[in-house]
Amino acid sequence: MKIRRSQRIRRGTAEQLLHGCPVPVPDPLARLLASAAAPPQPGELAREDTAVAAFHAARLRPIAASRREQMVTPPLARLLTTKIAALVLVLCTTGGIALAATMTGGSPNRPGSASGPARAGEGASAPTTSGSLPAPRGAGHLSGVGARGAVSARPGAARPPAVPVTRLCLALAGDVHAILNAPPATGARRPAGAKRGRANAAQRGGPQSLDARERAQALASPALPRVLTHPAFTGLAPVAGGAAGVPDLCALALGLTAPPAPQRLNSLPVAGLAAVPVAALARQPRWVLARLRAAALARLPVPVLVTLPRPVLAGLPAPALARLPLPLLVRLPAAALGRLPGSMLAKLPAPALRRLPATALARLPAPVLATLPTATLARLPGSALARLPVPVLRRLPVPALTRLPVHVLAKLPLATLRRLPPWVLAKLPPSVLARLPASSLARLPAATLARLPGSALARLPATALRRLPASVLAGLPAPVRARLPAAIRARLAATELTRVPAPALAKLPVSLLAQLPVPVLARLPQAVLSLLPSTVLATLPNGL
Amino acid sequence: MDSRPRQPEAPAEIAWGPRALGRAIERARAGDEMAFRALYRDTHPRVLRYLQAIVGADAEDVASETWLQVARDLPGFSGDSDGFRGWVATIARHRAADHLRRARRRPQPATVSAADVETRAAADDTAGQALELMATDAAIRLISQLPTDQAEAVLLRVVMGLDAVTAGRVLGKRPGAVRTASYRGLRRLSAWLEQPTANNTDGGVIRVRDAALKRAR
Repeated sequence: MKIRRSQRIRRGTAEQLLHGCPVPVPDPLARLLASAAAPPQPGELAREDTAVAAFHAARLRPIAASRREQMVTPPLARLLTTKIAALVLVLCTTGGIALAATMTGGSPNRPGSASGPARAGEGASAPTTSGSLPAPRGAGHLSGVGARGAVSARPGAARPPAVPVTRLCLALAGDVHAILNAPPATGARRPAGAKRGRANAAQRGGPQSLDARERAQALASPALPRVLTHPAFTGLAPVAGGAAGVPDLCALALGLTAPPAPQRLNSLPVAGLAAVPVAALARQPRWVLARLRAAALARLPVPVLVTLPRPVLAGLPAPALARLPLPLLVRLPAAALGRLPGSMLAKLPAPALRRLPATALARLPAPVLATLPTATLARLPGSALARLPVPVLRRLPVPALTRLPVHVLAKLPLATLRRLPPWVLAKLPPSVLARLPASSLARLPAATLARLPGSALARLPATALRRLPASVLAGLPAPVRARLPAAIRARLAATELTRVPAPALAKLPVSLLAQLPVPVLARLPQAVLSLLPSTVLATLPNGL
Repeated sequence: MDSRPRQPEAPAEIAWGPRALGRAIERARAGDEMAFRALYRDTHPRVLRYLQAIVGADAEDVASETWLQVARDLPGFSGDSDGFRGWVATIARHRAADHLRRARRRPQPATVSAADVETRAAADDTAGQALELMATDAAIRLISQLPTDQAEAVLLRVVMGLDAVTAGRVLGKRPGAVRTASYRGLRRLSAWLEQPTANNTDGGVIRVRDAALKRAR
């Protein structure tokens, strides 16, 4: 029975069935075969990323390595595909592709390997040994760059050696391009001749023969970090602020207008950008330049600078700012203008100057300062104000005048000095103070008044005089002392009496002695004191 | 450093037709990741099912080894979509042979059972996809019960979509021998499916057949 039914399927029918054509066969068999050939299910593609990671890793493998070298042993292969390849994927997506490639056996510095990617490119194409740089060399261009790098890296040099960024970037792009377009490994079938010829064109002509698109493609390739690990390129990463910055720095150096990682442009160090030729930098579009550190843009010509947005211009160093045209300068923020040299500031119109901070204004020449409105001048520090002529100073408000040094204050007219507060006037020399009117002098502190000559003091009102110490009052002419209140004069007299020797005092009549102040009485001999009335004696400290 | 999305969509212009696949092969050889993904999505499920018949549960691992070699040697490949599938199948078969040689030194994996199928079906998240997948799985398992030469011939032609000439290259046989093996395989499958009591001596086949029939419905 079984044999009879199964023999219903003839050869022709079976062939149609195998092709998936609808044929008159028992339904279960057709359904079984349809199920077996069902469309792919998502679960069957679970390891797609792992395969793609292997795809990228394989493209980083040195082509020159022998097939035997590339063939991993089955246990290792299994381990790679199931465990490490997943890691390769992670590394590929986090910038660790060089490490990933190394793990898969592609280290450029591996002993016995064909000295990294450059040799890989050479191995892929026989006529590539002519070198990629203009200078003729027997070895590949990469080794040539390494030799130059070694020359420039003089041991013990006081300054770090200048890195030939453009040349290194040229070689780097060339090497990466060579890897990307290398023919397959030994043992694999050859690609079409036309394709191979195009791929090797760059290798025949060297990296300088690459067009912009090929260079951009090479710099954006995940193979680049791997090539970068070659000793010949060790100088690039430091000047690019790390390996991650190399593609962008090289894109700038080679005049490519589409950096591979624009978000990293602002982290490129100024020192590295300084190695980029001005002409290459000037070719960059505005949005690229705007992302670079402003200090690195100082070398750009003015026609390029003027195209940059104002926030970028505001960050330019002072010498670069000074080269900008005046109409553009005046639109920059005051903080940026404040960094301009005084000579440049002097060219700014008054409205721009008014926005400047006081520290910047202070660098303006005095003739320019003198033209500024009083309100602007009032913000200046005292040292800047001191350079102003007296007629200008006279217009200043009191707070600004108080910042003036004493020697400048001394030159001010009396009318201006009279506006000054007493604590400022107190700093003036007595000769200046003596010119002040009595009303101004009367506001001075007593210590200051004490330094005034008698002629000046003589003009003081009694209210001011009474604040003077007795020693000063004692030196006043008698007519002046006569204007003092009685109590002050008594105090003065008492003070004078203290200077009289006790024996001389003892000669005074008792009626006068009884009027002496207590401190004077205390110095009198006991015999004299005994003559005084008891009411006077009761005031003495010891109760004589 | 790399902002490449983890799983980009395959480009829309790559359909699964022979010409589109041929273009994908060219682009993948030049390093185009999208094209490689397209090739993978087309070919990997076929390879996986083919390998299930040879190495059973280890098919995923052997398929991964296969793609490792495909990724490495792809730049050197030249040919159309049929040639590519045949090339991949050849690599898969060699890797499976390596795997089986190693497997001889360790205990054999458990044989297929209907219970196993049920368990795996219950573990899947999306019921619809799981049923579809398990129907395919069950069908492959039933085909795998055929004698090796017949099973390989049927799978290479039905699943991998190869013609008799290409399948013959993969198997190292003449096209006529492949045709004969595949016809015999189909007849035996048909007999298993139509005869509930057939091959009573082989309980494993009956269980697998029942699972396949159940899922195929």
